[in-house]
Amino acid sequence: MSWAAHEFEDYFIQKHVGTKASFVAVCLGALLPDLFTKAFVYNHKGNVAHFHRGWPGVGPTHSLIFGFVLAVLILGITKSRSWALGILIGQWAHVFTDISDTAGVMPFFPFSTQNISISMWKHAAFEGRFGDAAAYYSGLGGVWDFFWFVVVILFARNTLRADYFWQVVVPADLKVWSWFRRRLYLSDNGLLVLYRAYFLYGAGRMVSWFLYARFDVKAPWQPVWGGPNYIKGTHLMTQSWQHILISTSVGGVLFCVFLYLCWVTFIKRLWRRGADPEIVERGSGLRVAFH
Amino acid sequence: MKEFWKYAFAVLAYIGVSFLTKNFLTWTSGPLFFILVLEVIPRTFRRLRTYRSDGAEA
Repeated sequence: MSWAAHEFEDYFIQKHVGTKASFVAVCLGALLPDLFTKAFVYNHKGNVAHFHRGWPGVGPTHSLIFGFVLAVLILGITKSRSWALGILIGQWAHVFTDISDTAGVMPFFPFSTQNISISMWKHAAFEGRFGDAAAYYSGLGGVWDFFWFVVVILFARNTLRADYFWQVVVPADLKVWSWFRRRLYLSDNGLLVLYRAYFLYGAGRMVSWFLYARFDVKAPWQPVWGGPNYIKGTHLMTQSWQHILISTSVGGVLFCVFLYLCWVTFIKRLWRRGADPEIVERGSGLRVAFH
Repeated sequence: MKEFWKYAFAVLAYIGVSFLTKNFLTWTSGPLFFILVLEVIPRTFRRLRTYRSDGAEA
């Protein structure tokens, strides 16, 4: 799991979707997998990593089909293409990011329950929230957060500008931002702060947890692949590489066939029935979602 | 530039509050903290100032 990367990624995604997906939906999509699971995970007695990312457990929330089902439901109920795409892209970004820890994710659930991981840092949720954070900011997890912070500053800093917010983000999702203004009694400045809040929160969170790991827990900083070494961590990708390759390939092919069948049978109809804000001009292929 | 320092101060305040109290804010309370520091508190002070100056004129 990532502690601040999910917040930073939202702004990088925003740069590439422009007006074609709702920023609020992207943020919500990126939060959803942990929103449904974190409280249960830290209170779970047993194999925490398996419960969090495996099956049986709440692992399906970290699979591609979870975002897909939610996006289709949103498209069907609200007819909003921007929100359906935002939820889908945000949730998929979360899934791909969480491949990096030792527990990994089941991307092609239910067609394959194989966990995929690149084991960059240790999944340490069994240590509880504070122990998990200390381990994350003692290995490459914290470096990964900082990497995304730098990526946003270098390549997507325009998305943090006030004029970008008013010219791109708000017109792309006028209803929701108007709702925020009314319900939270926010001024123009307040809306802008709300938009930037996840970036500020990510930056603050990254530094404060890092300080906690260094000066409170006094955990050794071990930014090596698969670290930190002071903790055991949990690995869920323990099968042979042949088994992993075959299982994932079969799952991936079946998942793609499933998506295609869903598209031709009912999603295409839902998509055509869906609506866009006036500012949105969709192209074809990947330009439907990215500009 | 003034805006940058306001935001930098808010992030430092967040780090200070989180680290010193060991109460690390979550995905809901974290962003709300920034609304509080950068919008609600300054707005309240502005209103108080206006109220006082109106009272002095009266």
